[in-house]
Amino acid sequence: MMAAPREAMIATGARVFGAGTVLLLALVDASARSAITAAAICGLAAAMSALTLRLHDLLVPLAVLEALIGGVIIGIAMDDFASALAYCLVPPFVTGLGGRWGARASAIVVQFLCIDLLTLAELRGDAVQERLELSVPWLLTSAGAALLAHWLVEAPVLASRDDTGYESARRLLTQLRTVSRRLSAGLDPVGIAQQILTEIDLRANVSLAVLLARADSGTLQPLAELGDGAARDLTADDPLVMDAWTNEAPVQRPSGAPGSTSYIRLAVPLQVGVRVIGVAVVETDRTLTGPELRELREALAEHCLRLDTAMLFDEVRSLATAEERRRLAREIHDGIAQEIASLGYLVDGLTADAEGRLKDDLAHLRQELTRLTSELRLSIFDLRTEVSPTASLGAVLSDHVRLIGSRSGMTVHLSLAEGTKRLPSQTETEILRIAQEAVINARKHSGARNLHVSLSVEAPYARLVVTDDGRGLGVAREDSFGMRTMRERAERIGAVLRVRNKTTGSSGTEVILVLEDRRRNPRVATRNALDHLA
Amino acid sequence: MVTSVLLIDDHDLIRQGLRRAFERNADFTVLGGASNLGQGEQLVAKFKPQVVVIDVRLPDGSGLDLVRKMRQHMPALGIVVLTMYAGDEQLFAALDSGASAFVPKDAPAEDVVAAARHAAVSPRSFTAPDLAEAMQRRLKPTGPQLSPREREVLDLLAEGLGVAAIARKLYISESTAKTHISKIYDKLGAANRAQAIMNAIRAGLIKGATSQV
Repeated sequence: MMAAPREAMIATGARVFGAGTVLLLALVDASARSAITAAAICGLAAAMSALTLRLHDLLVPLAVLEALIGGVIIGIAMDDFASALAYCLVPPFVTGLGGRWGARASAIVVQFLCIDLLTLAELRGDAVQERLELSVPWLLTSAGAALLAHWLVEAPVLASRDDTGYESARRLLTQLRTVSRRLSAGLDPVGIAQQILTEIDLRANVSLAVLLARADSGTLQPLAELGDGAARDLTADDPLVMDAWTNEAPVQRPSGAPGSTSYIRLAVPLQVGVRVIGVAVVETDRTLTGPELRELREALAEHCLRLDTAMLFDEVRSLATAEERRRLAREIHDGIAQEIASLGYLVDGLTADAEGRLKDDLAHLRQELTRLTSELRLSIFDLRTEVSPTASLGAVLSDHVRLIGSRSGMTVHLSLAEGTKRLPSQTETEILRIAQEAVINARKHSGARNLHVSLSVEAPYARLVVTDDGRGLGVAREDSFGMRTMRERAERIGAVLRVRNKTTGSSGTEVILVLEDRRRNPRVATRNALDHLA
Repeated sequence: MVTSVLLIDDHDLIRQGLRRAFERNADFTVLGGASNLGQGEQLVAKFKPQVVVIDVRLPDGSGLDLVRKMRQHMPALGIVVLTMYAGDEQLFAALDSGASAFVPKDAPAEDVVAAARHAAVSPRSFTAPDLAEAMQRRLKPTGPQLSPREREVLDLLAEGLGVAAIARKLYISESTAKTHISKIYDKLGAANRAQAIMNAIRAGLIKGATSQV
């Protein structure tokens, strides 16, 4: 293996350390022999380092040579200055950085042969045994040093190889796939946001709380709130929020409204590592002390990581879905739609030449083809409709509903109440899709003449009502594909969906989607209530 | 007099169908067809047709870009824009780019011929089957929707009344008045009274000048 400069640097470090250790031990020993030995070893280390840094391709052969010379030096000095053995860790370590296992073994063996053969030559039995006792542990330790060096170079974190990043990304994605399959509702950022507020409430006894998270548009938008109208009173416009965001530290100040009891407004930045992902703003009745704040932030750290992951996951999923919808729209637009349209032109030609009964049949066929093409045009329009940082849910929905209405002969009655604060874009998208599905159902199946669509958004909450005066739900519709998708979408954003025939007066269908505080309106309880109604 | 036509669409069958439709009418002659913008531009320059029929979406870009270009240099050219898209934005974009007519692809071929006939006669006026409805859709306010109470509060705000005065006038508590006001600010995307009033005027919620107090 070619030794990279980085390995040569590590080798130099090991040599300096080894020589330094021997030098230190020699100072403690304070004898002439030890001083000479230490000097020799320092010289060897310096020479080898210089050579290795210049000729780093020769890292391993140089280390074997070093083992040979070092072995001789240590072997000679051994009787008077056994501490010199410390340096015998260095050559195996260096071969461990770059060599094959053969080279490593040879460095270790050569070294200890040199050390021990010198005494074997003198043929003194007791001395040989003494030497072996001294050197064998070092033999094992140097093998350990070689292993350590090998691990240091090959370990995935330290090795500078490109595919290791992919490897860990792949592992994470696999985990994510497993997790996301288990959770039909995704990772649920809103639920986590509410947990964060509850966590703060436990420690600070808050009256109002709102969690502002960064949206696609780069602005802070409410993700969850505690207490009525918290998101209306505690907004991102408060300088407190900007303070907490930029200084990455909690900020609190008394905020006594005239005529009311004074309270404290506290903004806590939500951080993952060094990144701020949002700010929790609360109103509480007392100032929190420094230790309390520290404790609070520690308690929030884990939730913040989960929130960040959940938001990221949602973003990835919605990007993928949006891209897929666009692709599908392009495919229909460029493919089947054009082909059917051209069939229509073909039939126009035939109709012009035909007479009598055939002409009538062809005219009928043309009508069908026109209807089909119009359907495809509306499907393309449906697929291409999406919310964006500049087009809010209300704006997009109103354009969509009006166009569909005018194409279907239904009169559309639209009522919108939308504040400036936006819902998270994933939530907006899901509500839009539910509304689209409801409108499509009304158009295709109900035979309705009037369609009422009303949307009110007061982030983080929203309410959508779509009603028609058609013939109402069919028997099999309740668990149809469209209906199931609507339910899944509602579940994903933690909203409650009710689809049923109108209970008052005239016939027709009503689709009601309510997104509000889950604790005020626990999903399970509402579900049961809705089941009774169904 | 025979009107010459050039067809620009990337689908052969569409061009074929339209060519036959034009050929059924003695007052038209089809000079040729192109399947992309580049080719279309060349053929327009070469043949100098009286009417160009062009699709919005072409492989090498938007047909409307070419429409704009042609309109600049050839004010008397009749331009019929075809589309498979259903949204109003395409219609208005065609209008803005200087097209003479806009026909969806689900309409019969005779509609395209009729549009071309119109385009040849009055290239600078615009027709589309859905035009009136689209205009209506565009004119209807989609902006902020205030409740009747909020409208009242907004009117009083515009007259320069303070919170206390508004509360007295409407027989509501000051805190209720404040809530209304903050909701109005929120819906209008305003941070203060002046902004709220400006935005309300823009959205057509109040008249520009308040004549009397």
